[in-house]
Amino acid sequence: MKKFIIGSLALFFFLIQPTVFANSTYGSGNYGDCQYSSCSITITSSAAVGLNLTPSGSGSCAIGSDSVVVTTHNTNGYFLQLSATTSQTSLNNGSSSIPSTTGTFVAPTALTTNTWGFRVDAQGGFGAGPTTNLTNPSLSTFSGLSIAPGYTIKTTTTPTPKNYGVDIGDTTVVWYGVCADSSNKNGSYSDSITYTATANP
Amino acid sequence: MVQTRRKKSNSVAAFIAVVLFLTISPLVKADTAVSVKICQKMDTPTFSNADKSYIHTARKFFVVEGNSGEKATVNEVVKNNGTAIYTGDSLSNGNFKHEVQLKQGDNSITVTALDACGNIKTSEMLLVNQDRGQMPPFTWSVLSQNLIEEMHLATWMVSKL
Repeated sequence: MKKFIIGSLALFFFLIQPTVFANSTYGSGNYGDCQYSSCSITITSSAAVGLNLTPSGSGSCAIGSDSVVVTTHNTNGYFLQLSATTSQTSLNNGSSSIPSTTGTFVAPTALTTNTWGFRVDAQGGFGAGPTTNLTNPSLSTFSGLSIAPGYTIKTTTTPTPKNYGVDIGDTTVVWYGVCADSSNKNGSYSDSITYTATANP
Repeated sequence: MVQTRRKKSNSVAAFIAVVLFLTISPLVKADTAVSVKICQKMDTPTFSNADKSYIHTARKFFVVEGNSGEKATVNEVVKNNGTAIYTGDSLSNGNFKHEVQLKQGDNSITVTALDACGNIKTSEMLLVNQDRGQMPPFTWSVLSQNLIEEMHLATWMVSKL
């Protein structure tokens, strides 16, 4: 019996692995209230957020946003996680870097000079915003990045919305802010973010 | 014995449930690259080889050189009478140097620096007047050279007498 279970598990892992980590629609069998072939989940993001910063003597800040759209028919909704793609949480430019802020998702802090971070309006410990009207990120609160699995920045309990029967998905706006002074050398500082959307069981 | 078996089978079932949840839970991923271009504050480009804003010359070329005011490579656009005649990168310290072919008459030369963040600064206009018909300017050195040559000629002629 034991051998049978272990053998079945091994076979299951072998069959399922290539499908699980593909960034495509996914559906097989019953899953929660999700019926066969209707349990798909998809995610898109802007792929790139570019900020320009010309520091004044004491430092300047810049802010930009990324739109993450998740679509799922799962009746229990989904949860969205944000993490650094690698172990790197700083914005790097060769040997120079700008570390992420010490604030967290539940206890975000205002950006200080030479730090960067993200915020999601009305989630975690962030205020309601709206960040849309914000021109200086040092006036708002941000969270630093963490490595995978990262922070769960949103949880829903219903399928994502449709418009006249067409999926329009659920959009989450993630804001990225950076503050830097003239001690940073010229150049492009970058880091990679991974969003993971998972259907709720 | 039976209870032990039941406990074991329950543990196996729980383990399978967790594994199944982690394995088949549909998840998808998307990556976004966050990049920040930092450009130090740029000053207005200045000409280091022109001590005045109006220069008169008989030469057909004029070398403009100076600094963009930013200690980094920036894109330079040299314009003569409003027409771009050169576009290229400055040196890594912001220095630029370019030879401008002069047109007869007034040449209003400007240098515009553009950094990676989109900041733009344009120099003051340098006016270079090119007059091809003008005689070489009079200088004492030329005069003295002529006198020396004439004295040599006179000496040679006297020696032939």
